Amino acid sequence: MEIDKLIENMDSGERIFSVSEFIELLNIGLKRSQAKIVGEVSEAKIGPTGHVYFSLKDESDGSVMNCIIWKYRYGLYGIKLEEGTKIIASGYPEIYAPSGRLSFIAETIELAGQGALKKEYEQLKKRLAEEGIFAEEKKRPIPAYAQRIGLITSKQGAVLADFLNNIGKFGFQIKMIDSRVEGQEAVADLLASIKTFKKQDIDVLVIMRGGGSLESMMAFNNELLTREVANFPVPIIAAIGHDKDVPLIALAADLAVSTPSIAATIINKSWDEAKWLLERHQRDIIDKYAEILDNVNSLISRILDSARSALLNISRELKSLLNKSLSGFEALLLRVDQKLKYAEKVINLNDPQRQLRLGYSIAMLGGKIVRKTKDVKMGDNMDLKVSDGTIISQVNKIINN
Amino acid sequence: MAKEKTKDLNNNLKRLLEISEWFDNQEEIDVEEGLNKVKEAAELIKASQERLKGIENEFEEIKKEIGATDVLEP
Repeated sequence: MEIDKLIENMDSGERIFSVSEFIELLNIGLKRSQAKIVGEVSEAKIGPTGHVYFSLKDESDGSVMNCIIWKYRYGLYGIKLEEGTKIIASGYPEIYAPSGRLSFIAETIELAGQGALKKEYEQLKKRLAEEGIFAEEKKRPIPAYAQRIGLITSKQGAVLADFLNNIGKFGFQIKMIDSRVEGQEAVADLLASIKTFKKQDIDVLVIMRGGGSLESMMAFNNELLTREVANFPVPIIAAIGHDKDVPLIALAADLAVSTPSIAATIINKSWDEAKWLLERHQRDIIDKYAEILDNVNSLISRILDSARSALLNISRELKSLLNKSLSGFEALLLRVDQKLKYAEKVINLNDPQRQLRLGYSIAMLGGKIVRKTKDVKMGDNMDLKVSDGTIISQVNKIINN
Repeated sequence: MAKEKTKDLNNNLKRLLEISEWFDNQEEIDVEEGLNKVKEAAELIKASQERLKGIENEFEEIKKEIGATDVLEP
């Protein structure tokens, strides 16, 4: 690496650096000295560009470190840097070339001490509650048959597996963003994750992490994040483990549950219920149609009257449907089919052609069937229909029984 | 498109409820129309049951959009 080469040169004293080169070199080395430092804010002023310049003082011996936090970062954490506030800053040291001054570049800041954290948590909770951020009436129901799920969690740990093991196989499209979830450092990550999901087409967003102390959960009590959750375009389920202080994100979410497996179960719920809903509909519709069939005493005559061929078509369709159909319907359709068969039989039995084949004949006069002796008179020409044709015959005698 | 429609479980269940209610609201009994409804219901139920028959989930990890957070630093 280039840097290692330069350091080697430095060690051997062979190379003469310019001031600028040397500062640059030092800064590369200093950036590796990532650290968390605790101290009391002794001086703090906001520069013209919005970045905050402050000092951290060691309470025990008065040692001082110059610190800078860039404007955007400062805005993330909702902590006001005032003289006397005890904070933990995490970041790295850097030499500012124009002044030669060494400053600690704070990437995150958080209040130090359980008491201060608790106080900050309580104050923010109260303020947001008064604003209505946590209001019950703002909560939206988790949509039924959600299909596209967004997940924000850390890939490390058991949380993700717990969710995935419990989500049903209903063809969900799950999109996951791997985010830091530990400590104040997680704020920027979580914020970017939520903003990314804002542009994704999802039905529900689940934010998950395992339990932890108030200190390790601070990101989940962040004001900006809490507001983002409250204003998210689709419902959010928060599955964030906690002891007694409910994370503010969980309060702002549409639904807060204690574990990822419960979150998964809730998303499964409507799908699971659909199974018995389908069974109920099937039973209902079969029962109702069966009732109609029972009520129609004239089903057979209707068939005779009108739609013999239409019904035969239906019968054929039914048969093909039957083959791919469901057990409940099969029984019903079988009944219809049997009725159709019976109807066919009735039609066949009453078919005049059949009678003729059996040896009967039909006497007709002027297109009308001759049923009684009075239907004809002497000399009439009657058509006598037999199975293979018509015999025209003249009446020359009428005998009444 | 039509196939997609039958896969939409929510719509299928709504339609089944409509069919069920149609039977309740019939004053004059129309056996053939009833049969058509039963046939439609059978198809909807079949499609829905298939939809519920263990379809593997898709899982995808996506990247956070940077820019929202980090670019503002000097």
